[in-house]
Amino acid sequence: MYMAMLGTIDNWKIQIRKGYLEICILLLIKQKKKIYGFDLIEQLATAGLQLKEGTLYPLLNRMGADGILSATWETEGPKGHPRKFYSLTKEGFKFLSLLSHEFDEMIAIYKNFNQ
Amino acid sequence: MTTDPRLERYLASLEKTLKPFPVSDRAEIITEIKSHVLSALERDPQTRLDTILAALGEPETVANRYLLERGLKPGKTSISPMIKWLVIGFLTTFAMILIFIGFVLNHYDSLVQVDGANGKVEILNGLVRVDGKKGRISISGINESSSSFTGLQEMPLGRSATIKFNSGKFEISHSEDHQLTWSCTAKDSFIPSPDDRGTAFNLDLSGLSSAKCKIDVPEGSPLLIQGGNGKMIFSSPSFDVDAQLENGKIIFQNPDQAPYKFDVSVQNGKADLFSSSDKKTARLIKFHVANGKITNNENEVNQ
Repeated sequence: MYMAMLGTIDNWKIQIRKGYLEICILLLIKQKKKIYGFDLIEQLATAGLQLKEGTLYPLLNRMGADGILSATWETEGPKGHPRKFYSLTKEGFKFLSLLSHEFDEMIAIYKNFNQ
Repeated sequence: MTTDPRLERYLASLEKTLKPFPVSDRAEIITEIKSHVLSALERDPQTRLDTILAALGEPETVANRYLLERGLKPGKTSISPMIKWLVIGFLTTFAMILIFIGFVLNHYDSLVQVDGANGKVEILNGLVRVDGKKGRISISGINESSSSFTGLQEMPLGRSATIKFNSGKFEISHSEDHQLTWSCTAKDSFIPSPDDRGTAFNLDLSGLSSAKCKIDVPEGSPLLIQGGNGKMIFSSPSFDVDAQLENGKIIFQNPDQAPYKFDVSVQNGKADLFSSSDKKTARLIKFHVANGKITNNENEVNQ
């Protein structure tokens, strides 16, 4: 019974993780103004959010296609290799603002019930 | 700047599975993944390229994630049409030559046996076998045909998975999302049909005489895996495991230092010592081998 409950908690975590990851990624990009994938993974890991590269890059690709993110290729130094820097578009800022509002409401409701 | 052939192979395989994307999108994805690998090597030159590529995941799995994120149907890897037709042409020619030689020799030599009713020819006491109906030629037990395939299955809340195989090597770890993915190569040309109808998701690979698979299981999805002969390698599973193997070896790795409760048994053979954790979050790991070995020695994986 207890093991089954733990399994349910794990599944619940998986369900909410995707949306939570998305808002964290967007907040980090907003904070850094522009950032490339490898750096993003490191910054998320430092903050305690472990994310596989094979998950992050498809997510960034989709957010780019949705017009939430824009990207530019930049090369640092003569021996450097090109890196794809992501930043929020105007639509991205609006989207993040709506997401943050929704998330704040969810937390407020949760806190209200959990008093 | 030259690129390592292993990286080139990885990117080529990724590019191949990304076919539903326009060329410009594919080129952008490939350049970004290459940039990621170079950044990782730049950050820590001691890191091995194989480790970085392994962290990225199988190219087919990564490509399928791109496709799924963009609402496109994930593809399955297949042999390129040109190679496929070349192999079919070669095998057909070879079969015709062998049948002709068999026909001629049959008049003079009893070492050739022709089974006309079943379309089979056996030469030199079975050294060469031609199955005309299946279009298959075996030389000293070597089967000429082979296949590779990948697939994925969405795993909703609390759903368990069952995998069965006859023989092979299975590397099992956890997936980041709620999808069960598999990437296999096999000596047979058999492609399995996953069964999504029951309470548990079933992947029956017992039709393959030998398979080599990498399987990622979502966190919290209990896995039952039953095999005949071969090797199972588990790497920090974030799900309960019930693994049963007739003959062979089960290797358990725990690079994440995650807590587990073990129930390990070997009928004929030996098992390493596994210490169970008292933590409430510890996953249940049940290993049973009839004849063979269960080990927690990570170094044995590459042996």
